[in-house]
Amino acid sequence: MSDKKILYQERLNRFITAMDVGKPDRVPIRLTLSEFLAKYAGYTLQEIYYQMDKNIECSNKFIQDFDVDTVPGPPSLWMGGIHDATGAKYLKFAGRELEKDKQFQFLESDYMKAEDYDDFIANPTKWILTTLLPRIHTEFKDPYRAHLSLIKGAAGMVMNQGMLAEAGKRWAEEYGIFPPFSGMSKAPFDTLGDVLRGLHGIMMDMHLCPDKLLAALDVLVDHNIYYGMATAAGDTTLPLFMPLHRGSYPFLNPEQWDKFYWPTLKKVIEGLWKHGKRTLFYAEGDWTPYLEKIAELPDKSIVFHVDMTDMKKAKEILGGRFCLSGNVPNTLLTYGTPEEVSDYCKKLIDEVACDGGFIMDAGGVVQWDAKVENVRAMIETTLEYGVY
Amino acid sequence: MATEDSKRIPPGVCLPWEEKVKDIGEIRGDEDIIKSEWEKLEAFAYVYIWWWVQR
Repeated sequence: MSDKKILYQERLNRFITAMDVGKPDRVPIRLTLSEFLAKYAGYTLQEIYYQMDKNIECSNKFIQDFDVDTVPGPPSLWMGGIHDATGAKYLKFAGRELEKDKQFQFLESDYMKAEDYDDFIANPTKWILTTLLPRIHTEFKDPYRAHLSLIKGAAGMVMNQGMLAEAGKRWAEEYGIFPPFSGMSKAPFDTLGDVLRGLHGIMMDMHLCPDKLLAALDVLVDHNIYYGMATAAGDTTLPLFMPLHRGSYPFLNPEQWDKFYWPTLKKVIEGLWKHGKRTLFYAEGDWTPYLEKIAELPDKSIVFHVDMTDMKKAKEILGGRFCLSGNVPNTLLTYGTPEEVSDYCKKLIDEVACDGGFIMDAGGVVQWDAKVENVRAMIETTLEYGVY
Repeated sequence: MATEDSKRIPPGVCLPWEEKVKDIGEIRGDEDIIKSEWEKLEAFAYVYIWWWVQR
């Protein structure tokens, strides 16, 4: 077995042991880096949003230079070219509407109207293709351009996925690096509340048409389980990435959370777990008031990621049954010093990682503004101080 | 609370094989081979459509 294959296996075993709430040889390091990687590698955001080879090159540079167990694929998720091919109007990209080093922007709106609920519930896939896409893709303005946009959009997805698959193979073979997750899905409430109804729309729906909202959420459960397994290509070794948005306190009051957010999210996670698929419960913001409910999930079915949730309470309520990760504040990575970052990591290792079942990571996805010396301090502290 | 339509068309399917096979008419060879390839592309189309929403 080559050195890189041995390294790959060591890192993967370390990660899996922690996810299974065990104590590996040291605290694993998963760094969820996005636009930061472009800054580190010296590319503009326009370059990484539009050119997949440069997008991938950013990750190459980072994993050549740093000893981390795993890093997500390249920094840009949303390739500008595909969005231009379809005329998707809900994203603004660097180098197009924005200056070449401005982070992309999502233009939230009620792209799905309240009166669309019945058609959405009847057949959501058909509704997305026949109603939503023509509404959000400007290339649907005439049949010729609409057909072209579907061809180019699908082709773009295949081309990008092919390049990412090749990159993943190279990261494994040349650097002994594995991806931190496979596949993605969402809480049904977020599927509706992020892109479709928008925050304003879904907040109003809870008051004006709660039954339709509940019916739509219910319909989404099987779709979100399927989408997660399909985008993971059936893999069950790595967790599924689930960025969680509107369930963060205090978007919803506890009664709304219990009624509208949690039941279908729970069903999706349990459904994935029945397939053997663990969920990276990427809890953006503060989820402290909901920890007792989250503890209802089957043991080990999630990795609970801490952004601004009270880590002490998370450890108290979820520790021992679920792996915890994260909690190094993004503000500290941007405005702090390496010493402060190092001290924070040591505190996490002493107080949270002490019994195993912990993965070091930032609280949220690390953006353009983080300081390189602080990211380095986080890694070096964990490598030195995080040995069990 | 799912409606009949949404129950009838499961995730991963855009145009069910049962509808497509009516267009094809008589199949002289192995239907499973044709169906299997149809369903692979169905699954891809499904993920592509939902990719615009699951973000």
